[in-house]
Amino acid sequence: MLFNSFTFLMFLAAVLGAYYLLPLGWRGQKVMLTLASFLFYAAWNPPFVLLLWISTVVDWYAARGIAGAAKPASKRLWLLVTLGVNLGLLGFFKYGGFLLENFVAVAASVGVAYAPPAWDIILPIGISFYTFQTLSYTLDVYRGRMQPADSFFDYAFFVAFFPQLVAGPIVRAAEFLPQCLTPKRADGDQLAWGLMLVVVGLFGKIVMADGLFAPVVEAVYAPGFTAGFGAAWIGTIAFAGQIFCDFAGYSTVACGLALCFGFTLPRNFRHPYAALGFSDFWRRWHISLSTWLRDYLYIPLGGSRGSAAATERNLMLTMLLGGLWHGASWNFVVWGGLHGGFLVAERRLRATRLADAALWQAAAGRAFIGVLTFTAVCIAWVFFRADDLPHSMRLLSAMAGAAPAGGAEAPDAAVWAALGATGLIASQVLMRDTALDQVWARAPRRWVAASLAAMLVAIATMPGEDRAFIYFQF
Amino acid sequence: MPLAMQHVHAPAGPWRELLTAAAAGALLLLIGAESGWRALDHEPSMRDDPAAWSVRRAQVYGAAPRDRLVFLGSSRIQLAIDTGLLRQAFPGLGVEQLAVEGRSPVAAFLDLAADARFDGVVVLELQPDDLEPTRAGQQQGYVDFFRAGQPLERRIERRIEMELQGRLVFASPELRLPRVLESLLRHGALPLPYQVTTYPDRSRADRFEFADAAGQRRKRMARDAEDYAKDPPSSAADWQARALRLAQAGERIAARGGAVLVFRMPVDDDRAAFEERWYPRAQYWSGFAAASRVKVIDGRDVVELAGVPTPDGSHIDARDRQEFTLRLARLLLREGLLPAPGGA
Repeated sequence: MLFNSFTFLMFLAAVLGAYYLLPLGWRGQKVMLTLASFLFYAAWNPPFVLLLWISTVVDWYAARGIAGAAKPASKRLWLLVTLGVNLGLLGFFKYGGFLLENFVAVAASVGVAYAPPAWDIILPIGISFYTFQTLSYTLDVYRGRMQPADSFFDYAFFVAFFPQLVAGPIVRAAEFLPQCLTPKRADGDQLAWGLMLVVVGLFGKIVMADGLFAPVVEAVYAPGFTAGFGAAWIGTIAFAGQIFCDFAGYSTVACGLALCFGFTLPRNFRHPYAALGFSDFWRRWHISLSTWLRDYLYIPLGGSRGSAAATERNLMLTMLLGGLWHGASWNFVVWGGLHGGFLVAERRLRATRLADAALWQAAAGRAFIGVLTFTAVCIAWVFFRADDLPHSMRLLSAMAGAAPAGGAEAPDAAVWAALGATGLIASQVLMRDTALDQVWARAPRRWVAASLAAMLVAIATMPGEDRAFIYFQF
Repeated sequence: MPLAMQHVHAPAGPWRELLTAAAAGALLLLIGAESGWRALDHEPSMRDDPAAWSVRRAQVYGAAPRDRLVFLGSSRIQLAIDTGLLRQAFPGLGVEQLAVEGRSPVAAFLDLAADARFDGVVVLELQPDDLEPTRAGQQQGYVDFFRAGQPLERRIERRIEMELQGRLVFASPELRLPRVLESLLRHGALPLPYQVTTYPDRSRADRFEFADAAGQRRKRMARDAEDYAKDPPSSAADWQARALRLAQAGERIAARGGAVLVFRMPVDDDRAAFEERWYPRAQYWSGFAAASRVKVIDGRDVVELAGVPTPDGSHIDARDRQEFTLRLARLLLREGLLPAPGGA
């Protein structure tokens, strides 16, 4: 079910009504929310609820098995079970086709013609998100950071809670399960605040991402479009705007929905396009994924505890796998590799005397770093958005001023997209050290009400093509 | 800065009052916008796409043979039929508009013919070039979308959208915020009323008062002439063979208790002369009509239909839609394709 749909509005009204009006008791409320979350997921493709249940049940028993095991070998065995099942499902559904395709290519390169049957498997929506969520729970129990949950219902509720089920934020059990212990009830103002965040998130998705940026991105990144210098840049900057408004919009709606039921979710974005450097960017972009990768991949690999070379290797590996998490294609590997390369380069620069120069503390120096960071992030976005590597290279050539003769100029709507992107980046720079909700909390009330009303009107007057959230495909 | 997971909380504040005020303000603005657009002659209009087509396609199954009337074709028939009027005139008759602008209906017709559950009446509006191999598959995408099936949620969603867009002007795709802003920026004025209105049941009306009908006529003829010169018509023998295969498919509908009328929309003299140049009726249409075992009628031969004006040469104006619909209904009654209202 899409947040930006009428069916979801009806679903939400029904679930909120049942949560607050029916005499269910706290346990009943949680069971009702869990069942509603299964319905929310099943609306897309009912049989895939089974995968969600498998992941839930396996990790529930694995965590209990780990906690109850007397010997380290038994603990490891339980860990292997959960890793095998979760990563096996993810591997089969998400990476099976990619692995097979590359196997065929490698076989062909050594003269073996192998023609496998067509890999016609649908990617279950949100599998990457809930797999990481359930895995973090078992891994935390394995490392002794938390005790297994006491209640299966609470655990199933944690995995399935619909606001964050299909596209995050990736929530940790240690942060969510304690919220299930005591009854949650948002008062009128908290409920209204949650709904205000829903409006803000939907504005980002429907008006900014789909209405303003997507038409330009789709035109410039269309397979038959030969972009000139300007078109390639504006299309890519528009994609930077689109993917931020789309994904941050989703996360904002998710946080708002959770608040409506009295729960809290982690903030997933913090003005990433105002980042000064790449490590700063990853503190601001998809925070729940970057912290997950740090805690369950980078640190277990050795983090920064070893030599400089080992640290750089760990960074590269983490970012390459982080890229691959997004999708089974070489484009995502390159995207992750580029970010890994940026982080390594930044780390090396920081180790030189150049990093101590007073210039970087001055406004001009900070602006230079900010522009450089944003430009590099945009260059990496090309690989994220383009259909394949040759397509990425064509667009990058155009951005480098080496477009073939007759490269097309940006579509008319690019003016609006450029204005929108400028506004978006400017607002992120201005609010760099705070958050939109914190700004709103301090702003004059009439301005907040007026901007909310304007957003509602803009949402209502933006009927368009159905566009799912970009991160649903991951 | 530590890489910490900070949760989003609700700060203290009078948010309930604020949200209520914002919602009330937005509602007032939308009511104002709706009234304003209507005052400027804009009408509610729905986005037409394969999803909308599929919603209507799913409605073609009746409880008894011939209690569903389905229109297939392109814009000519889609703009000419007032489906609401037909439903009023024939209580109990389900009327579905499945024509698609600018696309040959052959694929949709073959799909209906092959559908063992369908036993209604089909009015298949056919233009001579609809049978050309380059055009015949143009509605296949719509058929495939319908056959692929959509999750229940998507079908409900589209249905709600169709109802809202069909009732609220500000929800019309033609009045999306970027279009309004663009019109203001480029022309310094709000967008003019859109010529074609699409209703929630996919029927459409063409308001030529908001269009340059003569310009459209010139443009369409020039475009068609260019297309025909590039991709000349098939030989009459090939064309007739294809037309007869289509008619044979129609016999399957008749065998199930349904009925088929292959119908050519009347056009004005200019357009008729143009079509005659490329597809001489005596060589193409007449032979097919004589050999077909399903009913074939050229609207130009039906006096009361031929009299309805077509401002751009081939499309009926919204103001003449009801009259044309009534006349066509009389023809269908006369030909025994529809039962008389109330069984009279």
